[in-house]
Amino acid sequence: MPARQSRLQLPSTGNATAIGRIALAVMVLYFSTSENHPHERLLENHLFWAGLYLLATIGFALVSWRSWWWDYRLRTWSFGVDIAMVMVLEHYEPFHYGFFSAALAIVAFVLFSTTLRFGRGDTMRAAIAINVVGLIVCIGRNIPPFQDLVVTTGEIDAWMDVRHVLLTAVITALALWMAQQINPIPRLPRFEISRDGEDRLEGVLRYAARVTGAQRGTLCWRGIEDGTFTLIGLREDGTISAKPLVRNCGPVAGRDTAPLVFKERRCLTLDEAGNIAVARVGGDIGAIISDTGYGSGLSLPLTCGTGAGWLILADYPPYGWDILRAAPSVASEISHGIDRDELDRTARAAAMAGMRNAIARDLHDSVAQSLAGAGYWLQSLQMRPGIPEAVRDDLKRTKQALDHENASIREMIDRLRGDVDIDEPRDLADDLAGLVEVLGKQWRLDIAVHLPTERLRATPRAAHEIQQIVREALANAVRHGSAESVAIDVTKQNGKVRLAFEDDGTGFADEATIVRPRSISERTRTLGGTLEFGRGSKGARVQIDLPVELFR
Amino acid sequence: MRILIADDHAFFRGGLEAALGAAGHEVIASVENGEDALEAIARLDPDIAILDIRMPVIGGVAALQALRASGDERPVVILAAEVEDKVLKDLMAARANAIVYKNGAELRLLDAINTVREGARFLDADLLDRAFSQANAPAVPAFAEKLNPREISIADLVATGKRNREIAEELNLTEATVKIYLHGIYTKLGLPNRTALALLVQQSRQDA
Repeated sequence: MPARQSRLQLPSTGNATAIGRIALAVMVLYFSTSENHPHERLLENHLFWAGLYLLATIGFALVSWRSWWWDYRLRTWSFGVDIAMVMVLEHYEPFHYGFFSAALAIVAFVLFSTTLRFGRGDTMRAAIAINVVGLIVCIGRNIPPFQDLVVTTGEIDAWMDVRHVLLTAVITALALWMAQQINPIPRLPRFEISRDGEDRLEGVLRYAARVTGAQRGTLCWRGIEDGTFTLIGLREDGTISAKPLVRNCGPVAGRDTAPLVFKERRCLTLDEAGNIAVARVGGDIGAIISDTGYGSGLSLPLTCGTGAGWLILADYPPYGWDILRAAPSVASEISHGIDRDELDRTARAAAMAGMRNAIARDLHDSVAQSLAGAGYWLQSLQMRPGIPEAVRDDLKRTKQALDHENASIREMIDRLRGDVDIDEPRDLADDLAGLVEVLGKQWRLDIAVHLPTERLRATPRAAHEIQQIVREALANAVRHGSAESVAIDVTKQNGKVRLAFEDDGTGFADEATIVRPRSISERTRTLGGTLEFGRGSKGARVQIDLPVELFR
Repeated sequence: MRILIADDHAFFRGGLEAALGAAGHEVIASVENGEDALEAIARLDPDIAILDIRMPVIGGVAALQALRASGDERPVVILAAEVEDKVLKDLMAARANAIVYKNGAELRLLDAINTVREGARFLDADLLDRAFSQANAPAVPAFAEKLNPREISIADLVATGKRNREIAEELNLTEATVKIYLHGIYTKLGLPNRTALALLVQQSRQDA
């Protein structure tokens, strides 16, 4: 099994065969000058035709170098020239080993180049034709009625003809067998989407660009789950742009399912049999290609369990139209990678859902029920006659705090069960407003919150951690600093969001001996932030810097 | 008022008893499941029964249905931490006199008791909205609300009796992917196996 490569190694068969053709032409013509029989010295006796042949081979090389389109369109002509040369060499009797070797070499070349540029069926037909023609020429040379039709340059040697026919048959058989073994498409690197929060579609674009060497790319995608259309692009500087797409994209009902290599209006595709054919770009894929603004490139259809789309790549190395042969492998690897990722995500989601449900059930059956029960207990105490007014106030505050906790637990249960979108960002201002109202009453604190004008929406995880940090910071201010008021300043600057708590309590006696609250420290570290303690203008100051990436 | 309480959480029951006692009601029985509640109702004849929805042996809904089936139309207040649409429908059909959320609803419970004593029904506001919406909503299978489109199509195919391999072929997925999806569906809907899923889908389609 061939090793996987980090990048597609796909030389242009047009260039390779053109260079091989030139080399063979030069050698055959040059070696013929040393033949004993003057008639077989091609450069001397057939300078025009020999020169034309040489010019043709050079011309085909230039064409293949300059344009994959004309290389494709003229491939039949170049094949014709190769066959003509085979016929010329068959025409001359193989009395001399120089010709004999040249004939076999060109037969092998024709078969291999046909395999690469036309397909295995055409190679088989070419092999049969070469053998049949060779057989006819040899029979003709040896059977009196036809001898006059065949030009001979020496004495007829039937045994030499038999050897020639047999050797041609053997070399064509070997060439055919070897052509069957050729696997022109190397194994591609496995496509896996990073678990570091990489967007799946971005991962597709980056993988395709890495494998093909494309500098730019566009992916339009239709998600089956949500029915959305997405268009994302990879720029030359490696950045990704995304925008919603309104038009249809991706293969639908068997249409536009073949890869395309295009240059302006010229376009080649792979037909159902895997052969390269001229195509016309139109419909949705034509509109998408037009939107990309790429003058030339490759379009890959992607179809998998979660969606379908077209991946359009541009500015890749000069593979010629051979890139079409690799296209199905690239598309298949990407599609399977997406399916693998979906399977992986679904499995993880199922496992997580099971775990979340179990936690939610436990919370519901124990904590929530106990809190609800405590609420009734407090209610009964409040209703009891003879309770001093101060105690009644305390009960009321405790009841309010309990109700808030109860609501938080309820929300947590809903989130765990997936009734609430757990990925939905939470507004920091809303969260803090509700929280400080309850905590202010609970701790009898005067709390002032200063927020930036810009709306800050925290990821659910960050929002939860921040709430817990605020709870503990305020509790500490009261319990350890006997504070009566706390100012919470939230600012966004230099790529960070800063939460600063400053109270009017006793502050820290000695900053060197400050014991850092473990819970706040751990939560801050978990969020990737930093924590500082110090003296404020009146009491203590706690400052937490969080990465701005936690906020949207 | 002579009240019976049925709830499986002892601490909650204690708090409820205390609150009702403080409000001047007499809690004549405090039991922990629906079966005991039915037995106590028959034996003690309370004025009002307060039943939790989720209880072992027999839940609040089943206990209410059994009560109504026996011809007992005494006021029943249902306490719930949460009420799913189907449960709400069943409770309404079984003529629950009041449905009150457990959390932070102590005063509303007392209001509900006073309301049902006067022969009226009491529903928390959002439950009333949901009951009204249910009555007017176009028929949509309840299970579909919890599933995404892909899961719904898999559930539908399961209901037609197709095997995982056939479902995978039809939806252009691998068999393993279908299994994973099915696991997710079972988890979301709280179902034990594909037979239960097929029955649920078929029943939901009929209801719809």
